[in-house]
Amino acid sequence: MKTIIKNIILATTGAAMLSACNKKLDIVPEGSPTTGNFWTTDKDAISGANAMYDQFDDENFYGRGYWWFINASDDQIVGRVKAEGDNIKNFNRNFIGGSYTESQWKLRYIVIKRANDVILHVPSINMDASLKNRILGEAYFLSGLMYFQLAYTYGGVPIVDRSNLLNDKPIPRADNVNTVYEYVEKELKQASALLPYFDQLAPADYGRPHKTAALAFLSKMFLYKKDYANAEKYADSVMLSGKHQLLDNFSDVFTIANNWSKEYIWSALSTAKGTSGWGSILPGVMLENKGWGKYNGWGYYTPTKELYDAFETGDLRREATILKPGDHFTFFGEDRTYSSLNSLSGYQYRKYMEPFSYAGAVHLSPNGDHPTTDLCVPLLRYAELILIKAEAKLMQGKNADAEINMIRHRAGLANVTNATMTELKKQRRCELAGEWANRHYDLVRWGDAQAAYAKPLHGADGREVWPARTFNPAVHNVWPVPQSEIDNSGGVIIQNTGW
Amino acid sequence: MLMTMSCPLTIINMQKIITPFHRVAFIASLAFMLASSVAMALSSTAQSLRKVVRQLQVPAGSLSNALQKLETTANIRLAYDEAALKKIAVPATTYKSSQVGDILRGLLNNTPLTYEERYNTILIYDRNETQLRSSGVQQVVEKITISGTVTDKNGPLIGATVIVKGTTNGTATDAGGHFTLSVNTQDNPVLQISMVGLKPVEVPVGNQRSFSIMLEENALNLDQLVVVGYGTQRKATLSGAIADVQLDKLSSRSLNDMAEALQGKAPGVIVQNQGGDPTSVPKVYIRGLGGVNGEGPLYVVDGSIYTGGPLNPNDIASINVLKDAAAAIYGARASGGVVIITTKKGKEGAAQVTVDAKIGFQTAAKKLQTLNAKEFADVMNTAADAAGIARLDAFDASKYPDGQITRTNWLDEIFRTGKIQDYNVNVNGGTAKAHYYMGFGFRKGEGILLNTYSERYSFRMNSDAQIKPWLKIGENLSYTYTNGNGTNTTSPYTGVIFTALGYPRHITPYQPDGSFSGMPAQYAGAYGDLANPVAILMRTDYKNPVNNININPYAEVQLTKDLLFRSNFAATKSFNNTKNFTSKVPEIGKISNTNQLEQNIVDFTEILSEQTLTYNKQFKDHHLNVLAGYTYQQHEGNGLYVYAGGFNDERSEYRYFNNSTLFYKPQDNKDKWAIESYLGRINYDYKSKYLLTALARRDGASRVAPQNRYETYYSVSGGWVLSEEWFLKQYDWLSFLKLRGSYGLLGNLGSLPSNAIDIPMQATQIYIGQDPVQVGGYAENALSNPNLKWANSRQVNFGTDIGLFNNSLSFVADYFIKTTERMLLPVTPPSTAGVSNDTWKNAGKARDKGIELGLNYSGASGKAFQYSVGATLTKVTNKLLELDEGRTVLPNGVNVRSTLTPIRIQVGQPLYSYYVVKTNGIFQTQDEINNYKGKDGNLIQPNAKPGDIRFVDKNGDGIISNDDREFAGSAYPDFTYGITFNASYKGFDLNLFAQGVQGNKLFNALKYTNMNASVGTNFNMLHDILNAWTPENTGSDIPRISAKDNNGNYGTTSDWYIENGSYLRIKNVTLGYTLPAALTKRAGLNTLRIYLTANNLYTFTNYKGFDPEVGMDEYGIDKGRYPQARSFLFGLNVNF
Repeated sequence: MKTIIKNIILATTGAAMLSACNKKLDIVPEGSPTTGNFWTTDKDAISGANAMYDQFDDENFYGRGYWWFINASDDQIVGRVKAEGDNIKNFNRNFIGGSYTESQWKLRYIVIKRANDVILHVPSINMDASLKNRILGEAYFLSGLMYFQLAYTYGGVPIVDRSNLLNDKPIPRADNVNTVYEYVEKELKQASALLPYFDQLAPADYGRPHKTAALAFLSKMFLYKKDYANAEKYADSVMLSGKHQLLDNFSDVFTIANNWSKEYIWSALSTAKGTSGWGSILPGVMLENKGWGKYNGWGYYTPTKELYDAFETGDLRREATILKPGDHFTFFGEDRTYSSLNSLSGYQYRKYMEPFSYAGAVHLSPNGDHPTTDLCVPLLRYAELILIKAEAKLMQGKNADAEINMIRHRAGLANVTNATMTELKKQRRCELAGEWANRHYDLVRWGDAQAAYAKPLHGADGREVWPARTFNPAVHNVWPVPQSEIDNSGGVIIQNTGW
Repeated sequence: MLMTMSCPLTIINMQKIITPFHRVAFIASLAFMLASSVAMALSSTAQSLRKVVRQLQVPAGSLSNALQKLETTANIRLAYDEAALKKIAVPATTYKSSQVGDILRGLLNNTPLTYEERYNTILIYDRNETQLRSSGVQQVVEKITISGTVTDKNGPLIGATVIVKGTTNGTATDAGGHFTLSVNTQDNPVLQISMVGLKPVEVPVGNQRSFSIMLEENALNLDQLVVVGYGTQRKATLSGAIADVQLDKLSSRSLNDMAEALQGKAPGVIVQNQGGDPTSVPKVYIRGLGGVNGEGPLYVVDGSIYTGGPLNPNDIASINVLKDAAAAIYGARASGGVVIITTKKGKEGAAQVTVDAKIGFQTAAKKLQTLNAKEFADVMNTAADAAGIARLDAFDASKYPDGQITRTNWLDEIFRTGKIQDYNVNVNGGTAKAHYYMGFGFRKGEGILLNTYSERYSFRMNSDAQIKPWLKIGENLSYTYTNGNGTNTTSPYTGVIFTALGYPRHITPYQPDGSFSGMPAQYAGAYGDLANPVAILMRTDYKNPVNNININPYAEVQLTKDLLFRSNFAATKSFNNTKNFTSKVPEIGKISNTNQLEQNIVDFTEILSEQTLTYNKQFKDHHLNVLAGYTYQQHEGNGLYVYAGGFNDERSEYRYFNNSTLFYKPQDNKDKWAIESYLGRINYDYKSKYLLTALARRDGASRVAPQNRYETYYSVSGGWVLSEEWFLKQYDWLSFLKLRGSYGLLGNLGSLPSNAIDIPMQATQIYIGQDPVQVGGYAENALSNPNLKWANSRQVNFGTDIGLFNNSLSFVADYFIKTTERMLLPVTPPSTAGVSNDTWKNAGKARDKGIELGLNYSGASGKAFQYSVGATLTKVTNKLLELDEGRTVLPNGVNVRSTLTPIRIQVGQPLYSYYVVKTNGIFQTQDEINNYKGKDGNLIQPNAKPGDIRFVDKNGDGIISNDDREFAGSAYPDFTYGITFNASYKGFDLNLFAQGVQGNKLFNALKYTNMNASVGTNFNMLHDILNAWTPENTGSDIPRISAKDNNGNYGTTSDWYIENGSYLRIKNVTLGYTLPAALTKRAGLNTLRIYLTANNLYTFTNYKGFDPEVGMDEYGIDKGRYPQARSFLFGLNVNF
C-alpha cells in the first residue's frame, strides 16, 4: 500500500515536472504602456500632458453637472420639470448622493492627479526645454485651476501632497478655504512663470494654457479670497500685457469665429467633431427641449424676468443674452420667432445660439445625447477680468469708473461717474449672465444671496415661476461634499456643516 | 447511454440487491472509461461468456451469492430468478484464470439450470421448465407472441429484462428496446419489466399484444454513478452535497440556454432569467451570491473545464452539481459551485437514429395598458392645472385636435408572435470496442419583440475506442454557432418597451409614404424625447455570430488492475465577430444625424491539459480510491474594435467600411492568463457504511503576483449510512439513511481581470488646437494592487439522504454556511487618488446561509400507470459582514434616471438591499398634513397637499430626506421552489413543471417614468394613473396628478416603488403519446412519440409590471424589461 502511494506521488510529480514550469505563469500585460515603463521620452511627456484634458469632455464637467450649482442664482430657473435639479436649486439636501453633481469633486481630482504625474515625472525627462516648460506650466495651471474651482465650491478640500502620494488612502480636508487658495496661488504663479503668452502658442496648441490665463485666474482667486490688492495687481498684469482687448460688439463674443479672439482668456474647448463631439455641452443643454424638432436640445436653465429686467434700457447685451417670446432669430438657417413649448420661464438664453443658426447642423455634435457645438464656452474672458479689477479697486476704496465704463461703453450705455458696488454688481450680472463667471457665487460672496433668494422668481408672462427660497449663509455658502467621497473615505472626509 | 454507463451490472429484483463492494470499486476506478469498459466486457457474440476471470473464490453458500460475486468480479450482467436460485447451495471453490462460461458450467453443475447469453446479458433459467424460446416443446396449447418496446425518458432501453411474473420465461430488450416473447394466455400472465436504476413495472398482458412501456427512475437510485470531478462515485457512498439534476423530458422542452434546464430542478441551485430577451442568458447561483463579485459556477463538460460555447440541451445525458466543499477539487474557481455535465455517448449495437422536431410559437403573456390619446391629454391638463402652470397647446383639443385621436397601441406594434423551430438529430451506435455519438441541432427562436431572435447550430461528436486491452482513447468534439438580435430593455431613456409605453398614441408607426413617423414638429417639445419604438426595433442591424470549437481528446491507460492513468486535453477556440450599424434617425423625438458602423472582433484560445492517476482498490471491507493529478490551463484572448461613420448611403449593401467618410481610431487589446494546479483526493469507505473523502488542490495563477501565486484549497467530508447498521436494518420501511457533513476551503478568482496587479495606462483622446484635432494621451486611471490574493470561500455542509419504502420515496436535506473572505472587491479609491477606475482589493466578508430540500416520490410501482413527483426548495439568505477597514457602505451608482437611488450595499445587511424612505399612505385632508409635525412643531411635509404621499420621518429630524431611508428587502428571493409531476399510462406521458420564488422585491421604475406627470418629459402613462387620488377617489395609493413634484411623491426614493415579485409559474407542461410498438415496428421504426409542450403557461403573481423574472443583474429594478414569453410547441420524436 505504502509503495503504491509512493509510486503515485512519484508518477504525479514526474508528470507535473514534465509540463510544469513557473515561467508559464509570468505573463506580462500587453497592449499599452504601464506606469513602470512610461515617462521616458518627450513623447511620453506630451502624451501624459494630453491626458490632463480628457475629463473636460465629461458632460458634467463644463456642461450640465456643475451648472446645477450656478443655476441656484436668481438669473435662471430649472427650465423644465426636473425633481433633482429643483432640489439643488432649493438647497434641499435630497440631491446629495444623486448623480448630477456627485462627480464634480472626483472629475477635478482626476485632472489634479494627472497634473501631479506630469510635474513629478517630466522634469527628469531629457527633452527640449521650452516644450518641457510649457508642459509643466500646463500642469501647474490645470492643477491650480482645479483646486480653485473646488475651493469656492466646497471650502477646504484635501490637498494632495505631491511628495508623499498616498494612493488609496484618504486625505483629510484642508482646515479652511484659504489654505487651498494659498496652494492655488503657488500653482498658478508657477504656471505663469513657465507658460508662454497665447500668441506664442502654435495654432495647433490653442486651447492649452498660456501666461495671461494663469495671471487672470490668480486675479480672480484673490478677488474670491478678498485679497483685493493682489486681485487688482494680477488683473493689471493681464491688462498691461497688451495681449487682450474687448471685441467691439458684445454679441460677437459668442461666435465660433471668435473662439480665439483677443477677448479669449480661457474657455472650455468644444468641437462638433468626432462621433459625439467633444467639450462642453452647455449650448445644447440650454437649447429648447428637442430644439423645435431640429435638434435634441435639453431645455434646462432658462432665464428669469428678474434677469431680463436687470438690464438698463438700451443695454445692447439684453437681446444678445436672452430670447423672449416674439423675438426673431436664425435657427438651422431659417428665421424663426421664439416661442417655447417647454421653458417654464418662457425665456431662453441666446448667448450660445450661434452654432444652431447654421443650416445642416454643420457646427453641432451629431449625437444629440452629447450636444457639443463648435463654440468654445468662455470660462473667463477679458470682460470679466476688467470687472474683477473694477471690483478689487472699489473694495479698496478706489475709483473704478474707467474699468466699468469700458464695459458700459461696449454695451451701448452712457458712462457713469463714481460708480459704486451697486453698479459693479449690475455690470457683472448683465455682462456675464448665463456664464461660468457664476452669479450664484457672486451673490454668496457679496452676502446678497439670502435676500435675493427670499424673493420668488418670475417668467416672461409675469407669473411666478419659482417660489421664494430659504438660503442660510452659515450652511449654503458652500455646497455639500458628494456622499460617495464621505463613504469612500471611511470618515476622513467630513461633510460641510449643516448639509 | 447514461443508464448503461452508470448502471451497476445487475438486473432482476433489484430492490433486494445490495451492491457488493468490489463492484463499486471496479466501477469507481473506471471513472471516465466506463462506457468502453462495459463494451469490452460484454459482446454481442457471447463475449461475456468468454471473458477470463483471474481469480474467483466462491465461498460455500447459496448459488445466488456465488453468482453475485461472479457478476462483480467479471463485470458481467446476469439475469435470473433469485428466489429459484436461493435454495441451491454450492460448495466452496476457487477458479483461477477461467472463462466465465466455464465457471458457470461448474456452478450450475448438478442443478436443473442452464445459461445463455443474449444482448450482453447472461440469462440463467431452468431447462426443465418453460423454455425461453418459443421453439421449445410446449405442453400448453394457447401460446401467443407479444412484442413491445421499453423506453426511459432518454429513449429505448437496451437490455431491460422482460419476464412473465412467477416464471423464468423472459427475455431482454434488443438495441432498439424491442422484445418479443411467447406467453401462455391461460395463466393471466403479467409482464415484469425491470432495469437497474429504474423502477420495475408490472403490466398484465390481457388482450394486448403490443406494448410500449416506459420505465421511470427510482426516486433514490443509490447505484447511480455521480461525476465528482476527475472521477465518479456511487451515489450511496457520496459524502458531499451533490445535486443530481432531474432532466425530466428535457428534450421535449425547447430551451434557449442549457441553464434553464437547472431552474427549479436542483435544490440549492437558483436560476434567474434576466428578462426574456432571446439573447440573454440566465444567471445561475449555486448556494447564494458568494459576496460582491461572487463567482458564477464553473462548468465541466465530460471531465474538462468548459468555456466552449452553449451546449445543446439535447446532447446532455446528465447534470450533477457540486454544491459544497467537495467542489474544492476545482480549487480557485469552484467557490460558486461546479456544474458537471455529461454528454450523450454511443451505445453498442446497430446505429440508432433519433429525430426530434419541434415547432411552435410564442407570444407575450401580458401587455400593460397605456392611456389613449385623449386620456393622456386630459391627464396632462389635470397635471398642469394642479401645478399651477399653463396647459400646453399640444393637449388642448381646440388647438391640436389631432392629438386627441388614438391611432396606435404601441405595445401591439412592438410585440408579435414569434416562431420557434427546434430540430435535433442524434445518431449513435458502436461495436463492443468502439462507440460513437453524433448530435446535430438547430434552434431558431424569434423573440416576441419585432426583429429580435436567437439561433443556434450545434454539432457534437463523441467517440471512444478500446484499442488495446490496456489502452482506451476517445474524443469529444463540439462546434456551436450562435447568432441573435436582442434589444435594450433596461434603459429608462432608450429601452424599447419603456419607449413604447411613453410614446404618444395619436402617432402612427409609419407615414403614408412608408417611412417612420416622428413626433409632430409643432408640438415636439410637449412629448417625451423618444424615438419611434417600431423604428428602433426595425432599424436594428446587429449581427453577433459566435463560433465555438471545442476539441477534447483523451486517453486512458490501465497501468495495473487497480491503477488508471488518464490524460485529457481540451482546446477551445472561440470567434466572435460583431457588426453593428446604427442608422441616422431623422424623425423628430430623438433625432440623430449620424450613422456608424462598428465591428468588434473578439477571439480566444484556451488550452487545458489534465493528467490524472487513479488508484482503486478493495481490501475486504475497505474500499480505497485515490486520485492525483496535475492540470494546466492557458487563455489567450484578442480584441479588435473598429468603427467609422459618415455613410452617405445607408442601404444595406453599402454598410461596409469602404463607404464611410469618417474614420476613428481603432482599439485593440490582448488578454492572457494561465493557471496550473496539483490535485489529489482520497475516497475511503468501510462496507459502504462509513464514508470519508479528503481532497486538496494547489492552484497557481498568473493573475496574482508571484509571491501570492500559489494557494491550497481542500475539503474533508464524512458520511455514515445508518441504514446499514443492525439497529436500523429491522425496519423494512427505511431503505436508506445517510448523514453527511463536509468542510472545506475554496477559492474565488471572480471577475478579476488578468492585469489587476499591473494595470496598463489608459489611452485617452482629446481635441485641441485652433481648428481642433484629435490627439492621444496616456493616463494612469486605476491603481494597481500587487498584493492581490484570491478570495476565500469557507463552506460547511450538513446533510442527509433518506430513502423510504424501497427507495420509492426519497428525501434529501442540506444545511450550509458559506463564508466568503478576502472578497475581491473593486474598491473606489478616494477621489484624491485621481483615478476613475476602481482598485481591486481583498476586502470584506460575506455570508450565505441556507437550507435545501429535495423530495422525490415514484408512485404506483408495478402498475401500467406510473407517476412520480419531485419537489425542490431552496432558502438562502446572504449578509455582508465586513468591508475594508473603516468602511461600512460600498457606494454604488445604481440609479433610475439620475434621480432614484434605491440600492445600498451596507455591512450587516443583505447585498444589494433596497434602501428607501418608507411611505405611510396618502394624506387625505389638509388637517392630516397640518397635524404631521416634527418635535419642534414644524410641519414635516410643508409642501404637501391632500393626495400626496405621507413619508415616514424615520430619524425624527422633522424633515423628509434621504436620511430617512430604511432597508426594505432585495430582489434576492427568500426561497425558491420547483415542483415536477411525471406520469405515464399506456403510451401517454405527462410532465408538469412549476417553479416559483417567494419574497423577492422588485423596484417598479415604470412608476417613475410612466405614472409620473412631473417627470418633465411628458411620457405617455400607464392606465393605472386614472386611478390616482382625487378628492372623490380617496382609496387610491397613487398620489394626486400634478406636473410639479413639490412633495417629492416621485422624486423620493421610497418604498412606493417596491412591489412583491413573488410568483409561481407553470413553466412547462408536456403531454406525449408513444405509438404502440406493433404499429411503429411495421413502419420500421423503434419508437415514435408525438407531444405538445407549453412553456410559461400561467403565472400567479401580484407584480404589476410585465413580468416578475427581472433578474438580479439590474438589482431587481424593472425599467420595462423584455418579458418571458408564453410558448406552445408541437413535437415529434422518432427513433429508428
